[in-house]
Amino acid sequence: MNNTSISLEQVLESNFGYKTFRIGQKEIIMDILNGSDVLGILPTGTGKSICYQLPSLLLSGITIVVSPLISLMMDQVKQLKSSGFKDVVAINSFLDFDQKRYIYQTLQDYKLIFVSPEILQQKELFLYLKQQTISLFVIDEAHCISQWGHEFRPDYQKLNKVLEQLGNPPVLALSATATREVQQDIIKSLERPRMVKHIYPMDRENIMLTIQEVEDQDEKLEVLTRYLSNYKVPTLIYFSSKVSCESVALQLSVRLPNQRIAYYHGGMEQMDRISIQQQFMNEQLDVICCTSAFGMGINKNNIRLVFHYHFPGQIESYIQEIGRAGRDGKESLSVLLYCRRDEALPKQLIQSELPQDEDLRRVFRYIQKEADKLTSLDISDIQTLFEISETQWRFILVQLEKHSISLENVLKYDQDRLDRLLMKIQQVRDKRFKLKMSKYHEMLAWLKTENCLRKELYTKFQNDYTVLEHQCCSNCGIALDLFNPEQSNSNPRLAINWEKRLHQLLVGENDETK
Amino acid sequence: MYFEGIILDCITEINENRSISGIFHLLVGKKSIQSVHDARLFQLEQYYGIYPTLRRIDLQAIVSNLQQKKLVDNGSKDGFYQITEKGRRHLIKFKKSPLYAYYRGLLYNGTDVLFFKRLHLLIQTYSNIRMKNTAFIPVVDDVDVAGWVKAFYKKNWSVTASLILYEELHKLLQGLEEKEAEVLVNRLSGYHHYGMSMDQIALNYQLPIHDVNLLTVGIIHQMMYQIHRHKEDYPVLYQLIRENNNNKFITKTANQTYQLLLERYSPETIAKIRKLKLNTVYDHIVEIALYDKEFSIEPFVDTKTRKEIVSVINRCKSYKLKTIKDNCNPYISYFQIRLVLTRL
Ligand SMILES: [Zn+2]
Repeated sequence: MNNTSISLEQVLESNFGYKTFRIGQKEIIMDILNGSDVLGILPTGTGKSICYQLPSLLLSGITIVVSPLISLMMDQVKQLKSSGFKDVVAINSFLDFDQKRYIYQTLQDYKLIFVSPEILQQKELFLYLKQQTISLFVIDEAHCISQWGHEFRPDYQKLNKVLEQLGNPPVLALSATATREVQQDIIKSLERPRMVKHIYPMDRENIMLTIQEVEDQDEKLEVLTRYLSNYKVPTLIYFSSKVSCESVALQLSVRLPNQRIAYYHGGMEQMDRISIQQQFMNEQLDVICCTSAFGMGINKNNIRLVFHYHFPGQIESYIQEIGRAGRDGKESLSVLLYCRRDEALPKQLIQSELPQDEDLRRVFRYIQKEADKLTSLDISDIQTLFEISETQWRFILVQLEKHSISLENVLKYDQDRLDRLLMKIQQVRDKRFKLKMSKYHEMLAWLKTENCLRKELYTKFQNDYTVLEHQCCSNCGIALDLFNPEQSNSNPRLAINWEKRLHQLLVGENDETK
Repeated sequence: MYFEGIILDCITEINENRSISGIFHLLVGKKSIQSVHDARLFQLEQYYGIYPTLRRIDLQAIVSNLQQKKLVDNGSKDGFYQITEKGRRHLIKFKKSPLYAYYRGLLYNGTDVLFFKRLHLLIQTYSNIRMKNTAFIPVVDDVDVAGWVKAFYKKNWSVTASLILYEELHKLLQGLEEKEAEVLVNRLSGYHHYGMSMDQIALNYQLPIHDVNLLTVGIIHQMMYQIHRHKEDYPVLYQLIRENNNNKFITKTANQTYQLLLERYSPETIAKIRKLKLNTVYDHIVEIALYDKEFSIEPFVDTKTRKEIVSVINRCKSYKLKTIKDNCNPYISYFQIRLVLTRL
């Protein structure tokens, strides 16, 4: 035993550069190496990925990681590759035919393979995977399995079949936010009743939770300006709409010339998103106004302030977003700006994410009528044609695919079958809507509680939470004057003369590092 | 400012022959015969595909604004516009900026994005490796481009590689306006430094976001053009544009038809062999004629027919298929008219 633990720490240091394991990591890794199935619930920012990255180096066969978000997957692969971990690859629908085939034929060369749940449903990959020895099957963001999870993904429910067909390799299911119900669902859906559970407390003692009630949007701006004149620290401000995200960022830039402020949302081009994200990581920016699209896979440990300009539609998102603060363990502050008038927003948002009956019918009529003329190019045109939002369109596409209908062969279906399909999709949508609304009411109830905010927040997910004597939450009372994070002293850096910059980049000494 | 100028330019040339949709398709570079066709016909090749991320509503908003400022007028039908006298005067003013002469849309469509990505990733890579740093997050998230840069780097490695790249870029950018060079360079990332996003550029230079988009594309086109013209001066940068996929225009399916045509099969036989509708094969032939100026349309349209079609076009002063067809001898087909239009 002693022997293993010494070498595990050595493996950790030589491959990942950490001297010691963080909470839970080692226990989970030991169980995996013993061949057990493991359910690991670890709070965000505690290095969940080490729990499979490290074993993948030691196990003889391949480690497969199912991950719900392609961007998340790519980030991890990129990070791993940049730190010298070469035998890693991500397989997702963005790869073209030749790339895929090349990867499939060389599967045995990889130690760690990231896949999207959708791609596991494809026969071709499956045939290749079956020929390999799979030592560990990891399900990241495992709460997606559960209907009760805040990010339910139907394809996750098919993972039990996948496991069976792959000869039942050992499973590691990981999540940062899983209520007890969700944990049960994961175990049941995977048909692994003897899973070893490693549940670690998700409450973060170093984050003060505060809710501040304001009259209107102007007051929000006032509050933000006040805070940000006092603190120049890495800051996130979350918004639920792109428009307000942009406009508040601009207004704050004018009011706070000393802070370097930018915005980030999913509507931006990829290169710009990477730039902004990395500027923040690289301390070129102080404040980011963002939507929930920001932060997935972000590993910045000195974020001190997290604001919510709008309150999120569900508690799980809130926990995830405030969890980006203070990953280094130092004292951090979360401020939710609550305005009574915002209460209608989440409902509108939920509605706008799901297609209305009329949208569905129009799309169906169009697809049926034009099926013989449709090319893959036109398919994205349908979205613009009917002015359906991207999320709505994705919902429709996922549903169509779920019923194994591709737009190319829709013509083969008769009216009757299409009608039934339409009805089914409507049912799924209604169910989704109901679920999201109940999540929203849960959030609302928490906002209005007069009890300790930490207690009310965390006891939904775990039996216990750490009672804090000081600096707990705005209901218990906190002393802001005692919050003294280390401030950054950088100057706003504007564009500089191009010749100077080009020289800096390619020839001269780089003064950014000094 | 740039965007408005370009729209005014388009409306001037197109007049009421196409609706605003036609302009939209031209700017986003819709891969349809019609759009490429229009670009040639109205001599707006330079603008083809220069704004692929443009949204319809944004274009509409700008046009409405131009209308309010009385720079354009409503045409005879909804969605059609004409330029006004005031608009013409504005356009002349706009065109004083050298940017308008930079665009070579039809020529560089698609390859400009590739050049842009390669350039950014190459500079980021050289800048980092020069400082012995191999762990950086690439700003360009594209497997192909990453593979290309990696191969390029291996092939061109030397102690002075980044210096040579610097010198070539410096020379190239000196040929641009000061502001243009600055916009390009400030977006570049390198060692411990990430470049500005388009929004940050917009804010910093007080430009509308559309103009930042269009300015970037214009700069890229001008760079590519200069590199092409003076290959010998830019041996490193030339490699960024040389290894591009040519012929990316013709679709795979049209290319298959093309191969059969070369084997002297008739369109009817090709339709049978390929189990396609005859009209689809005609579409392919028009597509081929459009992209391949060497392709002879003679086997499908004899000289007499072609002359008649041309004279009808001149007489009616219209490029609308329906109008031309109605004024031609009834034995002349749409297919033939479309082919002739590719050769105007
Ligand atoms: Zn409390």
